[in-house]
Amino acid sequence: MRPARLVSWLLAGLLAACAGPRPAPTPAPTRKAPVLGEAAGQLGPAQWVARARAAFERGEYGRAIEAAQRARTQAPDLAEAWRLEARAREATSDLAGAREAWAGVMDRLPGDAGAVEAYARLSARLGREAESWQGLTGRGAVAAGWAGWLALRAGRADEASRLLETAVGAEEGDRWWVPLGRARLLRGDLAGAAEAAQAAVERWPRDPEAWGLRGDVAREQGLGAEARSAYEEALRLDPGRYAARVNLAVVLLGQGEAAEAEAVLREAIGREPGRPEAWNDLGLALRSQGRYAEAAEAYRKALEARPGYLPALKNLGICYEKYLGRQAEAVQVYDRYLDLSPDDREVARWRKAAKRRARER
Amino acid sequence: MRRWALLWAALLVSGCAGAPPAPRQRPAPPGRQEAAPRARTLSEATRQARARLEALRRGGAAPPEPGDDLVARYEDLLRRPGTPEDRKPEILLRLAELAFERETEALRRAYEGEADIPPRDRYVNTVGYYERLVRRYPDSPQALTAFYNLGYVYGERGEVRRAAEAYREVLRRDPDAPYRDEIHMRLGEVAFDDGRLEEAAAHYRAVVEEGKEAYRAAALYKLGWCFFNLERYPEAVEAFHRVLADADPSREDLRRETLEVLSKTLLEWGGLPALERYLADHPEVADRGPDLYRKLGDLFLDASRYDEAVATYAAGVEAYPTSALCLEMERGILAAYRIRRDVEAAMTRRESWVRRYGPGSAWDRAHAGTDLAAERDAMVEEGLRLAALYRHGRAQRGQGEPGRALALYRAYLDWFGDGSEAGYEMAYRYADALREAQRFREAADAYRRVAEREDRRNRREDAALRRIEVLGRLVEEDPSVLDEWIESHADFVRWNPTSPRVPEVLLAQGDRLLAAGRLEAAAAVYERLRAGHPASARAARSWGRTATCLFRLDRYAEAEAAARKALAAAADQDERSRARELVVFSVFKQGEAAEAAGRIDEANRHFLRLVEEFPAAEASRIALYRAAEDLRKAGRDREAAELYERLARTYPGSDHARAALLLASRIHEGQGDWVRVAQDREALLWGSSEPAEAADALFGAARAWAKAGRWDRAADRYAEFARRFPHDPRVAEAWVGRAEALEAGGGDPEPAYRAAWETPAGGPGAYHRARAALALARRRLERFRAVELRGDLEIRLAEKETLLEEALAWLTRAAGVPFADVVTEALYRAGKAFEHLKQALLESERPEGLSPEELEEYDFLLEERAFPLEERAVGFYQKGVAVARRAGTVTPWVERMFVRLEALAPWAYRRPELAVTAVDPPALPPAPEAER
Repeated sequence: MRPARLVSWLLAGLLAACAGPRPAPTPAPTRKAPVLGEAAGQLGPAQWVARARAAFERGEYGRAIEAAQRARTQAPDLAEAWRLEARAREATSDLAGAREAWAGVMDRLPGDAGAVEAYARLSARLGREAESWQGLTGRGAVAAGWAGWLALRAGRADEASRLLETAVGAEEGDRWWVPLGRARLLRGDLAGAAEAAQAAVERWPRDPEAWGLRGDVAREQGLGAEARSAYEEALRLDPGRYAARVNLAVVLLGQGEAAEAEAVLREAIGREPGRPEAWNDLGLALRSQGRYAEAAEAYRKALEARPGYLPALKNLGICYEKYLGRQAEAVQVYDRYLDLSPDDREVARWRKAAKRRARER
Repeated sequence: MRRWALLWAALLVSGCAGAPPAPRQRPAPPGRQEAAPRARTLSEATRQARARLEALRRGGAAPPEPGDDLVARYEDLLRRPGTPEDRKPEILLRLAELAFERETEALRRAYEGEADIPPRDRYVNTVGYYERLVRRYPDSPQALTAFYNLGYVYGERGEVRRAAEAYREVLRRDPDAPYRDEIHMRLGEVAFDDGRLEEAAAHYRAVVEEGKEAYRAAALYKLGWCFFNLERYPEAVEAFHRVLADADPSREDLRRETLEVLSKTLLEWGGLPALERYLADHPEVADRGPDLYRKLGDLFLDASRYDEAVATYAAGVEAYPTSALCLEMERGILAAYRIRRDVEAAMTRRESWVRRYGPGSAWDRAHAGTDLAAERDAMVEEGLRLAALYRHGRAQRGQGEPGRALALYRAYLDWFGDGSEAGYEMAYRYADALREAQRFREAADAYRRVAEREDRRNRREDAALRRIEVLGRLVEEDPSVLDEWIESHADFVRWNPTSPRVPEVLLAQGDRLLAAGRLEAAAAVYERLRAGHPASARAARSWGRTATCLFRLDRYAEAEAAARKALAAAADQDERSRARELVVFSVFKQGEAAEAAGRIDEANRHFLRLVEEFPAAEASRIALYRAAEDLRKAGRDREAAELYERLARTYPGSDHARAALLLASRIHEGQGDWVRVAQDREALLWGSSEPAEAADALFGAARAWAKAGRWDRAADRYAEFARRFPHDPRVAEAWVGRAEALEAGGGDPEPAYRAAWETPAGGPGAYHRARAALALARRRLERFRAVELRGDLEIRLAEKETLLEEALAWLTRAAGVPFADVVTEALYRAGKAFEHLKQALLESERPEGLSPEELEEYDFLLEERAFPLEERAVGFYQKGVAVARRAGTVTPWVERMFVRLEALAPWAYRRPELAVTAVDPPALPPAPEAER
């Protein structure tokens, strides 16, 4: 054995040893079942399914997967065997294997809503929305809804909107109003988004997502008071909603209530300090109150949370140049901004002005 | 002294054993000496004479009866011629004896009839018969007897010399006469009486040395007297001693008399030292020592020589501590002290009795069970009692230690107990003494023993009361006796249920319980007092205490009821005042309790009825204040304010009134009711005597009037403030306030603004000076803007520029103070003024009749002139921004300057910032079956 291979083998062993208790073996879903005992070789698919269910219920997920594989080897269209395998793999955190097993279920039972939802949910968890949404099209209204939801997450607003409109028109389609509103908002269809938001809050008045959507739509429409109350309702239902809180602060800033916005943003920062939006907007709230140095510090925090965060870079440069009169530092910040966004001519012009005034000093 | 002694001696001699015989004891008639043996003594001779007389009677002649017949017959017999001469002495002797009997009887009757017979008239007939006999028949045998009897009768008639001659005649006729000793004694007596003491002593010494034994003791006694009178005391003592040393029991009387005279002799010889010397020299008479001491003490006492008397008695007691005479000598000592009024010494002596005669003492052992012991008990009981009371009295007057009295009381009670009336009294006194000695524990117990007695009750009430008193004192030192103290009151009532002091004690018991915090028990006692003695004044007074108990038990409603009864029953102003106070507090506490329970309306009802009923009470002010506070806390501000103002009206000038007015004004402030704020502040002003407080109130009133839009009043108040408090730090602010009010009211604010500017530059007024400068600038800028550039441009422009210059001057003054908002406002206004001037120039009226070219040229010239104005405006703005940056502060004027800079220099200042929204990833859609 060559030394390099030996080292990697040892490293893998060490990592395995440090990973804690070893999970149950997770055989890949192959078409060929592994060899089992003599007695087992005598069982039929129904018995294997029964064994798989029993093992699953006992929490013996490895045995459940083996038994399910034996069953579907003997009877490839036995959807129950695929379902048991999918559930057992999900239980062992084998999300990719589970997703494939759920796909097997969908292939054999195209109208199985549970399988579709599980497939979509696992696709989203695995970040495989873009490659998954299309697989759900043409499988009925429920699958269209999930396809639209995945498309929305993949940033495909137009497709998402089309699929979700199909879904909301079908039976039990009310659940898709929020995703549809989001998709329309992304497309700039404020009227459609407002319609969806209204439908969502009417049908799901206890869903903070619906109120958040409504707030976002109203804010985009310039309806500050409506947006504010919608965000506040969303936060009442779920105080942990970062976006609703930040966006509420944006509305308050627009209404000139900088101090109140500051308080809301500090609450958001307290809950999720690693996200830059609240820090950036806090800088604006502080600047509006004439607290320029604190504003600059808030912008710097935003940049710490997400280096190269362009809104914060831009605002920090303005703060240095216009409000604090620190032209040289403003030039530096503008330079960083322009490195990341070289096509912003306006900022380039500001940089020149700052540089000139820096020289004047 | 000498005469006294003689008198004594005469008396003693007349009664002594050796006194002359009675006259009827006459010697036998000398003529019948052969017929009868010669008598050896006078009494023997008398017997013989009687026998012969009896023989005569039997011989034929009837014996003469005691009366005239017998005397007459003897006289007749004498007169008869036939009567033999040798019988006549005998007849005369008989007649003398009869006469003696009759005259003795007459003398006795005279004494009994309280008459008297002069000595010379006594025994006249007797003497006559005897003298006839010795004169006519001097040689007869009866003459000897007659001489002897004559001696006696002369003596009785006071004819001492004739008596002595008669006795001497007897001795002359017969030196060995049987009556020799008697005659010596008589002669001694006569000589003694005549003061011929040496002669008397010779007669007595003759008897002592040669006489019969029967006469020797008396002769020694008389001899002693002679020596005594001759002041030859050692010989006298020796003579008396020989009498004392005689052991013959038949002469005990003489020895007792000798003791008397020996005592006198010792008294003369040197007193106590002589006695002590005598006893030391003659131990054989030691048993007479107590007598001698006592008698000597008595003599000293009689002679008013009290100190020597005491010393003698005391020495006697010391020398013979077990003597039976000790008690008498003690009495003698006390008598001496009493006469001398030396009470202290007497009491001290009595104090010693316990030691001398007390149980277990030598004296006690010697006389146990005797009558003397009983006598001792009586004497010592009285003595100890008196001594204890005396010592106690002195201790009470601060003249001695109470310990002596206590010891005496204790000794008394230990010895005699407290069973008798006196003992009971002593037990009570003992308790008193313990109390006065501050031995309260023992005193309490002693009083208890007295008070508990069932057989005697006259001290029961006093003792029970005193017990309460001493336990009260004791509890100050030892709180553990508190229960006993309180119980002592109950004991008093139990022992003296009918005492008129029971109500007093019950009231006191309640008070003790109350003071001890046993409120329920105290209330019960007061209730008992009222139930048992409803008519008592103390029962009436107990209502107040009951109210106090109930109050402290937080039973305020009941306390109020009780206090009202106390108020109704109050006997004087003081009680009335206290009861009223209790009512007030009870009502107040009811309010407070309701307040604590959150029952605001109920609380206010109590508070307000307190105010209605007792408006003058201090608590009423507080109650009204609290009522208002409750309402305010409950958010009922308007009602609260009404009460605050009521308080201020009802109790003007009080601290609460001031606080209430302040709070009311704050409420009105909160409600925007500035008129009432101003009124409250003015009320505060009128009620305030403190300058600082008055200044605050006046200033607040001015400001409130301004906020109420009552500009005239606001201006007046500000002016009044500036006038009354010219050195107040707010004077500049006041002037500015007045100016603003005048300005708002259409008046001329200029003088006020200028006055503000004229105030001292330093201190807290600087800001308002700057504001005044700004206002003055602003007013000029308004006029500056009002000038339109029409008509003659140069003139109008000059006018406008002049106003601008003035305004800039004031703005420059304002900008000279270190207040960022003022500075930035000044700079902003300066910039705006230049912007306005630029715009005014550009929009100024164009001269008529200009050609297009000229007009273009004119416009160009205007722009040329206007452009620098914009630059100046930008310069002011930039300066303002820079000032704010340097100061590290931002004002609204800075924001405005940024706005103007963005408009005038967009390339440099228009910088749109970026607010970002946040987007959360699309969440899972709700499940169809989810709750909606």
